[in-house]
Amino acid sequence: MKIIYLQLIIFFLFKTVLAQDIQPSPLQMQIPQGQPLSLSISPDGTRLILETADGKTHFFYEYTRNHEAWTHPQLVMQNPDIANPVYNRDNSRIYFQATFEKNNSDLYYIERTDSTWSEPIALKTLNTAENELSPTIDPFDERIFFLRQNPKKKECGSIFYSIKKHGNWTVPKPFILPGLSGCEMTPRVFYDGVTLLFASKMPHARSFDLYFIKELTDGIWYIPQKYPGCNKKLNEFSPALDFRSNRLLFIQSKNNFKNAQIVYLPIIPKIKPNPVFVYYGQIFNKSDSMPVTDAKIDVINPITNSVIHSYTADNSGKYQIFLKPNKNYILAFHGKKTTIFFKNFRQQQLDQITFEKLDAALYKKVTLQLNVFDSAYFQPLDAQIDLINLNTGQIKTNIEKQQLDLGRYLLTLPVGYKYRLKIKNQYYNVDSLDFDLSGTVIFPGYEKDIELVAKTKRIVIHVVDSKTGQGVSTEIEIVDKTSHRRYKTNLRTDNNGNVVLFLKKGSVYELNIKPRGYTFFTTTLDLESDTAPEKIDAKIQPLTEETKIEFHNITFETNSAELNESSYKELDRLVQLMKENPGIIVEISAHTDDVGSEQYNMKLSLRRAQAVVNYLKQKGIPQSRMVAQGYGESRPLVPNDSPEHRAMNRRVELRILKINK
Amino acid sequence: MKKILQILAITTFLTTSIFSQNLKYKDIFNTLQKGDTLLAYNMLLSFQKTNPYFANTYFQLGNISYKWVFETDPFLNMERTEYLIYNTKLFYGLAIKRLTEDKNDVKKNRKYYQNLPELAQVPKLNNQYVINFINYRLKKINEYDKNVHIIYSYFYTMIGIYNNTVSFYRQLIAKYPKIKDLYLAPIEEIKPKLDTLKIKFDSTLFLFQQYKTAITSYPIKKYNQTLALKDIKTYRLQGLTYTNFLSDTIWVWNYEKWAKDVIGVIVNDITKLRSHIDLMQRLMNSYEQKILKAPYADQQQFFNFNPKIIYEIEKFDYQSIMSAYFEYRKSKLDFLAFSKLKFNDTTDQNLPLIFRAKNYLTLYQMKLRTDSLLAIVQHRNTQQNRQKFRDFFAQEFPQGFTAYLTREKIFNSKYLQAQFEHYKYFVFRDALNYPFVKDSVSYQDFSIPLYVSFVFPQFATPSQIVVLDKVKDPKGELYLTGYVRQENSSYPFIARVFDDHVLWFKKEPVPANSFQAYVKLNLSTDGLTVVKYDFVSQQNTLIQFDFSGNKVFSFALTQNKIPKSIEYDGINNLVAIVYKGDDIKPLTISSDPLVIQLWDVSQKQLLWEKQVKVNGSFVDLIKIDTVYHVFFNASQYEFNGSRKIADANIIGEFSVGVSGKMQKISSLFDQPQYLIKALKLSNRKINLLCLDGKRVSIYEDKFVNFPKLKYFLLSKN
Repeated sequence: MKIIYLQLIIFFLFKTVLAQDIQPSPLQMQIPQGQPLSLSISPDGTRLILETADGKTHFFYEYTRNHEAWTHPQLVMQNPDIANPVYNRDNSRIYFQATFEKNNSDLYYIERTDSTWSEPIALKTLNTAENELSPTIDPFDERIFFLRQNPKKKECGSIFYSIKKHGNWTVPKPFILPGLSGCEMTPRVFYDGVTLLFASKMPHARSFDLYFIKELTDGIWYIPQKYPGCNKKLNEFSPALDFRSNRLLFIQSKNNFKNAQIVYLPIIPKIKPNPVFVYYGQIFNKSDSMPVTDAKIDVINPITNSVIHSYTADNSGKYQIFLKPNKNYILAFHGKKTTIFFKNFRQQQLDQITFEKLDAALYKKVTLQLNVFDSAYFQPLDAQIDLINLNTGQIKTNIEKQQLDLGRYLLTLPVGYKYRLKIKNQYYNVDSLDFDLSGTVIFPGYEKDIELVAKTKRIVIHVVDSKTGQGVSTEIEIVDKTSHRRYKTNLRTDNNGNVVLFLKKGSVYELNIKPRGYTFFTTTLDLESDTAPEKIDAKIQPLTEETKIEFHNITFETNSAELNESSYKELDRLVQLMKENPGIIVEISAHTDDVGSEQYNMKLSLRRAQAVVNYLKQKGIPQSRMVAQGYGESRPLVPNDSPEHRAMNRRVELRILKINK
Repeated sequence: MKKILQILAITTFLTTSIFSQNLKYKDIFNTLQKGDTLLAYNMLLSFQKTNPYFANTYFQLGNISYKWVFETDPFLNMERTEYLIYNTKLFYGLAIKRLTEDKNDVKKNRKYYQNLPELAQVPKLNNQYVINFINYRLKKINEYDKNVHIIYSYFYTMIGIYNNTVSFYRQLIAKYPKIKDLYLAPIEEIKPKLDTLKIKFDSTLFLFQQYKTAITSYPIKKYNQTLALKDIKTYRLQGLTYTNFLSDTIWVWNYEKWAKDVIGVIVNDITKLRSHIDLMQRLMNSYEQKILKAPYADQQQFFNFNPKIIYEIEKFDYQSIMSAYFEYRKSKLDFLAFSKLKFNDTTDQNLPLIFRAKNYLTLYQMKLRTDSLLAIVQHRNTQQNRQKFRDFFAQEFPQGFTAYLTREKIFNSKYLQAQFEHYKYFVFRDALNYPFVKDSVSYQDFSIPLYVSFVFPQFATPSQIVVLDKVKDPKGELYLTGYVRQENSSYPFIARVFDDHVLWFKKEPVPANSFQAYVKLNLSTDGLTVVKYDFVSQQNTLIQFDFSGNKVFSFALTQNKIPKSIEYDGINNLVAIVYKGDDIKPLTISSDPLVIQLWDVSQKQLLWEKQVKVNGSFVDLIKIDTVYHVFFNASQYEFNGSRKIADANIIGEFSVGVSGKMQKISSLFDQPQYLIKALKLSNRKINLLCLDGKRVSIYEDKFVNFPKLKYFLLSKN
């Protein structure tokens, strides 16, 4: 009970204070022409729009804030049939009433463009054959209030409201609330969307006074209360909340609406709007720093992941959105076919309207770096990339790509589509990568390793003893000569001398077979062409006395016993053979074609044989295991009747003289 | 919020308003009966301000609030739910209060109490019945109040945690363009994050279970969701979106599985990889220390590098800094090991210079390869790449990896230069006959020097033996030519020495006042080809000896200058001889023309002679295939009207075919170099060895004072 008494005392004190005449103060501001008729302040408190009339013409002037003053009036519109302008949430629109059609007042808005304003656009779903007047829209773009004209009292009307659903205004409903007279003027919803001020003329009142109401929860409003300081004899209307100066601006006039002036009262705590959180900033394209002209800010309910509001930024990418701070939201900034920038908004306790700048960088295109390499050797590969847009069906073959390095390609792909990339190299199986940029794309850059699997050719190696025809089980060495690391693989043939190889197409391999007790076998497998054999019979000779091995790749300078550099590889194989079979004693012989005298060729071949022996000696093979012999032209393999045959006859031969066990 | 509502609600009673004075309760009740509940509610609120003691106002306000409580989805609008619960309790409480105060109220206003179906048919409805009814509803609303808060708490916390998990995941992967980069992130950084991700997701699942249990025992608005897990398959394109928690099936990204998979790779594969990397590094460091101290040997154990580690690294880090680093290290270790082979041992006397030259070529090529691999490491040396092996680089390179690479580059260059100083030593010792050691060997009463001194016979002391040329064969046998000074003459000699033993010594008698010497020697498989020069008559004679010192043939040559080089071709019986000036020292500058002659020794016939005006010195004669290449230093040269003059030294080359056709003459470098030796490494490569800068007097100066060796390779195709 004590509490109730205390509250009663406070109440009567409050009533007493309110009962005192608080006189509104006139607001000093430059009015270029005409008498003030209505005014409104933007939800962020930075701009003021004033309607004046000079004779029959009505003017809309836009003012900017300069501390507590409103300066630099700029003419927005002038027309005999316009009235009651108000801003939307980001000051990009001005809503107003106009009687462009004869005897029918409707609601319109104009949109701010770069330097001017658009032509009026009608709010078609709200306009009817009746007169719609004095719109006011909450900063969440959720609800619009306006008046439908009272047929008996032309200067006022009943409040109606419409709610936006799926981006469209629903059919307006009358705003029925006990305490409304039905003769209301200039409703103004403030930045919290739940504080509504309006002018109302009560049944027995002499003039319009200002009233305020607050919405307690969806559709439940606290009863209208008169704003303290209103003069019973004068009209007060067009309230505008200047929260930055803590003033309620409005127009005061005689009850015949003459001698109007802009006045203000202090904002009483009761009408102070609930705190809201305001994000503002710019949405721009990160790649060129240009504004994203079609940018949107979706306010998402984190429980349902559904969009509560979808706001549009202006043409310069600038935006301003209002959030009720007592809820959690997910903000998604995006354009048409751009990346998305998410911002989580956590509910917070605020004392007052709070502004925060938040710029969002978006990308219309993202980069995809492909690292194309061999799956086995990690060797970078040159690749052709085909791009299929799965949404449009457009196919681009061998697309242009930025090559960062061998095998590293940078693709720039527009967001908003599903892609399929086909990565091709003639010697590898085609790899396919589905890259879906049609969904939620957040990151501007992606990197993928494309490990191409080589096409292989099946090649059977059959190592066979040339004398017995029996297969030989031995190790074989395969060297991929095309790989930058020259990979070696060692495999073993089975007891029948067979081994199946799957060798990469496009590579050149060196196949070395060096079984102990046999001659070595070396061949090059060129898989760049399709003509590579499917089977190789590697006939190896057992190292027995009188076994002969011909070396056609040991060559010399012209008319000289100087070894050519190209011979070293073959010579090194010979060294290897000698080292792996330490019991063999050999004759190294050289042979010439029939060009030159027999005597000369004999001398030349002997020197050449000696040169080979010297090379082997240098590599650590004892002289005692080798005999150099020159046979000149005396032992041709084929008749010396063509350049090819002569080349065959020019050779070095190894003959096993003896095998020491 | 509750406080605000309380104040508003209380103030409702205290504020008198002119607007509600005209409201009639009958109208309000009719509005209610018509179903316009919202309007009726607002009207009731207004009415009770002027009629605060009318119980039915509160009863109806309580009824509407009660109805709205159960119509409102608490998950979508908890604020409204709370407000309505509060109002239900408040207005029902006030209704009971008023009904208690006025015991006949129901009786008086029965029609206003029977608008509810539960009460419509109750005969003789009285206060107590209504109070009981209200109490029943208050019990229900309290039950609801309690349960909805528990359920909502689980539900809302779950959503908060899940949505936070989504954001956390997005932040986690933002740094790593591909998943392999994430695998290689420092484990102490990434593992806690992955664990956190798992925990957050686990919490989501836990809270969902709590929520399910709670809502099953107290159903609200037929919600019966199930949770379904979605695998994250595409890195950076999946796992980024939120979900609808009010749909029947709540699809959530399975972050736990994703995190487990990633941790699995990190813990198993990456940890193993890192330990292999550490091991490889230790082995390489240890080998490097060992090989740098190793003595020269015929063979060296090269570092046993298992290339599997490259596969292991590249599997996770394509074109990795780490694989590049190991490939570089391996190459460097091979380079160091190769430098420890015998060819580079300056104490070795036996290996022929050409053998060493070919090995220096290999060493040089190994250095080039090492340089190119180092360049790859430098190319890949980015913060991003290093970050993948952050601990390794921090531990192994405390002064920074970039600084290490710079030091390595300098070290390798200096190291190679140091080895080339050995090469320079060999060139001076074995090709230019720079007398580093002045040994001699006794023969009869003589002491035969084993070194070359360029003293003209006229200026030698009597009995002095002067060696003007020497050649060592691959067996280590030394052949010496020169002269023996007599009282008034000098006679030429040729000797064969092995291991301090003179195997044979051949001299050629000369008449008195004749000063002759074997000035130039060429060793071939056919024997020893020498040129005898008579310093008085200025006559040259070509003589061929067998390996026992017996003359095979001799004949007079046509040039009267001292020969600088002879090239014997036993296969084709040709001898090419180069002359330049009158000095016996190699590399002596002269303005005399550079002359090359080709003789057919079987016919003792001059095949051709070419002269080139060269103001400078002859360096070397090299035959490749059928072309003779002559290298020289010059300040100017001229041939066939084409003249080249330079301020500094030019290294020039001219080529003559065996047929005598002059093929070309050209200068080789723009920068001043001083060529001291040209060596044929193969039919495709000639090694040009220069001293950096201008010409030096190599026989007058100390070896240590000579400029650095500059190493060039000339390709011949």
